[in-house]
Amino acid sequence: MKESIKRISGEEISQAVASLYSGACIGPHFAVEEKLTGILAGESAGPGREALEIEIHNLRVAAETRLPICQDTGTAMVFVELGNLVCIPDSTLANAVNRGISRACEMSYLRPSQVFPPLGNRTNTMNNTPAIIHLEHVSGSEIRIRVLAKGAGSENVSSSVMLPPLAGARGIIDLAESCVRAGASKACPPVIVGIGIGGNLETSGILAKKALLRELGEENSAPELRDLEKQITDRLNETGIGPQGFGGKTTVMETRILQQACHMASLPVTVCIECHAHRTASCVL
Amino acid sequence: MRVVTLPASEETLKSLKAGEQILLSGSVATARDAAHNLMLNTGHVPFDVKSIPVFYMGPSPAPPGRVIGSSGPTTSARMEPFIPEMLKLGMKLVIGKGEMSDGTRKQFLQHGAVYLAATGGAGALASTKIVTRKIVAWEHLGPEAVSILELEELPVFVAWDLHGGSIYNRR
Repeated sequence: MKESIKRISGEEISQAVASLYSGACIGPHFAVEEKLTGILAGESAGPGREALEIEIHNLRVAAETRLPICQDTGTAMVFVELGNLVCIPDSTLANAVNRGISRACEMSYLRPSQVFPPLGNRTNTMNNTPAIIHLEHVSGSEIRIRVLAKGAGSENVSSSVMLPPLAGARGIIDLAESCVRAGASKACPPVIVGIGIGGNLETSGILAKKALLRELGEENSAPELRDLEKQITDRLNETGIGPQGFGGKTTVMETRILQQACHMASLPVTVCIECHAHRTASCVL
Repeated sequence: MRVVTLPASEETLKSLKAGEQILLSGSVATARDAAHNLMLNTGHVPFDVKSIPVFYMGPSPAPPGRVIGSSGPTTSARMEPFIPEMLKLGMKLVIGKGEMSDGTRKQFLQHGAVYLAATGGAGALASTKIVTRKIVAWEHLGPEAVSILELEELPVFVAWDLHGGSIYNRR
């Protein structure tokens, strides 16, 4: 069988990325709204419940007014699965993606939040580039693009650690609990907890981010991790931190774990906290 | 729900109870990390900190026809290194999000200051409660410039009151 090469222009990618990044920041996000509404039904009267009502109302206001859900329109994270039969003849992937991010920032009035250099005068790049791009080469003739607008409030309370190799599930649960106890009130809960286990220093972080991309309510494809995810969510919800840290039953909406092989002497783990707004969008070209 | 109009009297501040949701109206000043750094290094605070609350917030750009873009609070804990000096200058009200340390809480109590928490992530809704915005210093900081906002019934929660009460109680 003769496979034919599919040409996709840099401009097509830029357009797709611009539309995804705007859509992620503004919504509508019906699945998130539905999830939060379900959580609201289980919360008793008090400031935590009232804050959750405001979070839900805000999602609707954003969709109606076309204002970003949150003023922190995040670090633009772009996950690309590039088919081996795809050719982008006129652009590098990074240039095409960054043009899209910059365009969305301007057209949709998103907040530029990237500064350079990180030390010293920290000058704003004014268009939210550079995006952080994670590329996977896959078989096929399509490009799948997923965008996550990752706010700094939740990112700042996330943590990467090299645990002792035999720390086991206990070590993971304790790390997730210490992150959430120390930081959840600053991360706009109810949060999603993404956990990456294995790989090495940098891959556990990427795994944790990719874990956040799983659809709300979707089960882990690794049956042995489903129980651990539930244990972690239940344990974290016992803290009573609640929506916005104002007290309540739900501090964590969901826990998602991704894993891969690691060195026998290591157990790299990243716990990545994601805010309630969970701003994602995806498409296939 | 009661409306609290700024500037708030001492009596009003005393009446606030941790956990209570109020609607805030009147003038507030926005300042984040970079603005605090400049204010305290230059000694120039471009608003009356005794009567105007500090709102830890950096908005997204205003689309045409709007006063301001999305306008939710940022994490208050990042401003903790600047808080002792701001309290000494007479700051009585702070609007931000998230818990701060016990040490900062004691200082709020000593200086008779109240911490209000707006709903983090709810920036679109907050934007609709802002009627005017005037940049008063360091425009080049973009979203971090100091500006004076006129609020009209912005929903906020009393996080730390003057009686030792806190909204952040956990198991």
